[in-house]
Amino acid sequence: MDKTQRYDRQLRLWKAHGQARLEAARVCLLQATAVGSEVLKNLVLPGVGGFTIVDDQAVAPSDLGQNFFVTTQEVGQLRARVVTRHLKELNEDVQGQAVVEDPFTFAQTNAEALLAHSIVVATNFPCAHLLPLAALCWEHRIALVVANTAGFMGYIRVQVPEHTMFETHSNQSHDLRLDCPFPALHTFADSFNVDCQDSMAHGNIPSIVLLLHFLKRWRDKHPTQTALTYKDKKEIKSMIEQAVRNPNEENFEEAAQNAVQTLHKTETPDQVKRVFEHRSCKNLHASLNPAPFWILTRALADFVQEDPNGLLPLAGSIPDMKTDTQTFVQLQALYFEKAEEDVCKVRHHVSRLLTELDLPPNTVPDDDIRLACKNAVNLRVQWGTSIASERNKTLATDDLAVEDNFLWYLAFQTHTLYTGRDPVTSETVEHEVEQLLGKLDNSTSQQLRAHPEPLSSRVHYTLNHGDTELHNLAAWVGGVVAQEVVKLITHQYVPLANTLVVNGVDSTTQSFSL
Amino acid sequence: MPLTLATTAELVPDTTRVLVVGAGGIGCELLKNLVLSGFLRIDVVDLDTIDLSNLNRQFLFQKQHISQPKATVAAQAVQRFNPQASVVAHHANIKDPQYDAAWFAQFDLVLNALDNLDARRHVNRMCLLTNRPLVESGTAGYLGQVTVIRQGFTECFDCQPKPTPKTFPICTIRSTPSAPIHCIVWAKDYLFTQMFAAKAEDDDDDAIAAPSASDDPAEIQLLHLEASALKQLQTLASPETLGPTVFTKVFTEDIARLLTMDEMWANKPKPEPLDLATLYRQALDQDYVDHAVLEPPAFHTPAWSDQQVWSVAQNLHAFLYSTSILARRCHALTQANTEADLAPTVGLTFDKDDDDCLTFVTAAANLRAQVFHIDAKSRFDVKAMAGNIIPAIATTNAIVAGLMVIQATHLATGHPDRCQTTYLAKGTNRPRLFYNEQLATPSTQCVVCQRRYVTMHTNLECATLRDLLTALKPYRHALGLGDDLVIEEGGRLLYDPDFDDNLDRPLANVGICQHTFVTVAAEEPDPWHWPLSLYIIGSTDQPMPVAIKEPEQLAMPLHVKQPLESQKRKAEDQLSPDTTKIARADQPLVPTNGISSAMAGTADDSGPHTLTKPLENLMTQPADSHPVEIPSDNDDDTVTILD
Repeated sequence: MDKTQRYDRQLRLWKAHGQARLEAARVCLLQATAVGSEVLKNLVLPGVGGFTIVDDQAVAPSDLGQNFFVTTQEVGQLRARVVTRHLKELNEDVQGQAVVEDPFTFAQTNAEALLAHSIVVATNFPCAHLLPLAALCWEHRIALVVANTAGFMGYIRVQVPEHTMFETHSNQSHDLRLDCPFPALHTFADSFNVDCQDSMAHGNIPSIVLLLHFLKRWRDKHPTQTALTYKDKKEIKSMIEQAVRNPNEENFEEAAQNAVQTLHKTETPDQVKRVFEHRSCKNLHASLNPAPFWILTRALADFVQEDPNGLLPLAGSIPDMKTDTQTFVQLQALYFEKAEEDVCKVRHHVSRLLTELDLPPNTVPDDDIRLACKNAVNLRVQWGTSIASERNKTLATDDLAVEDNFLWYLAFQTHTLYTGRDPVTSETVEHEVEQLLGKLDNSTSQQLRAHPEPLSSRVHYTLNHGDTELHNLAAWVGGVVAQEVVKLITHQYVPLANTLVVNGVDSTTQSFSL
Repeated sequence: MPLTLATTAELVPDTTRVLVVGAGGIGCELLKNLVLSGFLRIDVVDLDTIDLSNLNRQFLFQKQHISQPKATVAAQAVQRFNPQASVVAHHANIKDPQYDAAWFAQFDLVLNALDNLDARRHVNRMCLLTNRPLVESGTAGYLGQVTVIRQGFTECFDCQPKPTPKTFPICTIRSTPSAPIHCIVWAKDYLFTQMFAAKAEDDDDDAIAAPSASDDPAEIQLLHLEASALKQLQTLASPETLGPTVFTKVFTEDIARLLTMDEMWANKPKPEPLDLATLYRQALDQDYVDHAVLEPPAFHTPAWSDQQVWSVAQNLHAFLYSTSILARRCHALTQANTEADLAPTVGLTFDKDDDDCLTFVTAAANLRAQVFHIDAKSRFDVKAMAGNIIPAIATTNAIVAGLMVIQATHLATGHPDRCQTTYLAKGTNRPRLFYNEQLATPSTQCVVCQRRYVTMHTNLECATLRDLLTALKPYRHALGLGDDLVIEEGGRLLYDPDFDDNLDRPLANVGICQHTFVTVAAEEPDPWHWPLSLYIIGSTDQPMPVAIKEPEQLAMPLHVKQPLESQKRKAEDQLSPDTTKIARADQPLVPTNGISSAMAGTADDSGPHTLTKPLENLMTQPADSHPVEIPSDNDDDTVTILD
């Protein structure tokens, strides 16, 4: 009860199963910077399972104005321990540990410890150290989020080889199947007499039945036409409007209002078809240790194959409707039962697949099967790109004017950023700019060579401010990074793919798919 | 772009005074960011105390702080991080009279971190009156928004109409519920209020609409009788007997009475009264209610979990148990007040985070649902429906507060032109997280910011409405108010030419008090002139009955009367839809000029007077208020990078 109460406001958003995933996650933070501490704060509060901070610095006076989780009295103490202690105070249910080691070489020296985490957050990481870390995470398919800041500017890069989701929350409309009613719905609709004389009964016919009825009437007039155009739907809408007997018939009003939207063709979205075509699904039996997601996806694909209409399982819920309670309950039960039937079939496919794969039957929990069926239409996979491949890419922008925040992106790719020993000279800047231009395609680099100032001033800025963390920017970036980490951990909502530049001067951001 | 700026601390003047309204989710983040960004003089106002459900995001609070004032704890927590900063906490309601115009005027800017419409509207109005820039914020789950309101330059909080909370006809709630929400509203707004709330004279409630034409007056009359009978029971029963007594009254007798009204059930399934004895036996069989009915249910077991829909027997147990607890709490409160020699009429208010309240409402709503053949709901769902819960998470608050401080920094460093509106959207098909928009110009239809705000000093004990009218007389034509005026306060009509009963009563006697806004409008609505809002400052040593501060403010429009009239005619002839604003003939129109000459000593003498559009044109959106960037449905914010 205590936990439900404490987490009430977030349970409303990501539900108990999202919370369970969060509580099972372990996050590793490399460098206890201000931005890193803010990221962890935002994960400790909602109750992430545990965190590790890898940092070997002592709290410096410069940390005081930047990092909220160090105090004046703690200057000189080990930053990893100080920040861990303060963060643990925020939530007693969260495990936290401090590892006093060089965060930059941790991936090489302690790969095993690092890989025991579900997600790695690296902050203000010099390029030279980032590449081996990113390669290790990529190889072991562990999510890595990089968060760098320099003065008023921030840069976020998410590296995830494959991120799978059922609950994207992208398609919110109800799955009603009006264009292809299942037999029980058909029978139910036929049991109503839309021309009945009883005005009370007439005013209580649920809008779903009205839509089915008028669709049928329209089809009788147009026997050859299969797909409905927008104009056709409008025509059906006006047929419904003409059949209204008195202005109090809210059921007719509701049907007319929803006609265009709900009379859409039920089909498997292309996005889902693409996932079905992926080798992890098609060649499921060839993979060594298939993830439950792919077993479920394959079961859904097999379900669609078998379905007479080639459709995904029915979601099973209906919107509130103007009708009497009894009819509504009947209608609700109708959809629920059909959805249950579909779940049954999918469950059957899952257990067959598990037998074929020689996996124990509890590999895919029943709740997950239900979740997959309910959200089948939203099924989605994000395939990421590695930071290594990004480095080797030739970058181009299709926009004639090179955008401001694209230049900031480039300025965060310099090799000397965060190594910060030498003072920034114009030679360093020139050298870095030359390197960056080498990454660009001809037309873009020509444009920038003609006007070098915008890029060189930005490079100068990031190099100059690589060691300055402004608290407010760190808080903003820390909020964004934690939000993306929560999306990745809970497998709910679609995370950033894959780069975000945060501009604290004009409070703009820009995302890039790199 | 100030690329050379190293820290914001160097930018924000030490003297900048900011007011933070709200120390909740956004407020905590905001206070932390402000003290670490060089804002040294901060006042924070919050009336709330800390609750367990705050701790998942309001990180300045910990378990040991539960039930302490939010403002105080938050101020102490952030103060430690900057000894130079002075953070002053006010554990109070921002609408309290001590936070008057003069108080608001001390601040250079105001930041709203509020969760309710009413307080936001109030702060918006106070900022318009005192001409203080306001950084406004809001979140809901993964969604967030930050914007800046500047009197005369931008949209105010009320320029965009806000959705009104849904209300239900009284008969739907009290006699003919057909959905779970009807039962929940009944349990919370009717039953709970009648049984445990302080006995106020009027039982009006927000969620139940006043009787309308569709409600049967005879039925309403009966419902009133029903309510007073319930009240009677409440005073007679002890905490132990209250549950069974009320149960029989509302789930057996009242339902039996409803059943006698045949015509009501001609087309609906009839409700079925519950019988306490039968249910009780049933509960005993299921082991839910042991020999001690009032023992707490085993809430920690799966059968009683928040997500579980309780059985009828469970609901009975939960109803009897929570009723006895709440009744005892009421008694304790009354006793404490009697001992302290205070008014004994105290009670409880429904709080969604109060376990006893929520258990009561869940059980009562579900029992009623049983009677009317409606689906029962879990405690978790009832909480969302009864409490209007908006999901709130740490990350969104962190992001929104960060954006607010950027806007605050623009304002504090003299760059209001850099302010903008930012939306935080959830990524669905598009990878985009943020949208930016230019600040919109004020809506010419806004009844809040398009009117003229004037401060009025008066002696509330001796000045009358007649004095007020007399004081306004010299200016009313200039203001375009005409001969016949209407005076209102908070939606109450105080005077119009056909209603002069109050004319010679002192202002205090007609309900005008310190720190309120009195509206003076023309009796004939005039599309060219907005009503006048008089902000009342009352004092007993005020020599004059009514004094209008800086009367030249009111006199000013005299100079524009002629051009105004001619412009009006011209506009009426042409009715050009592009003409959104009409300039004074002798002065070029400043596109972002103000309309309400600001009061409270910060008046803009040359204050240009923008006229509102004729009503016919009001439907057309002014061309200059279009956002520069409209969120579109493609991926245009992502620069495509080619291999």
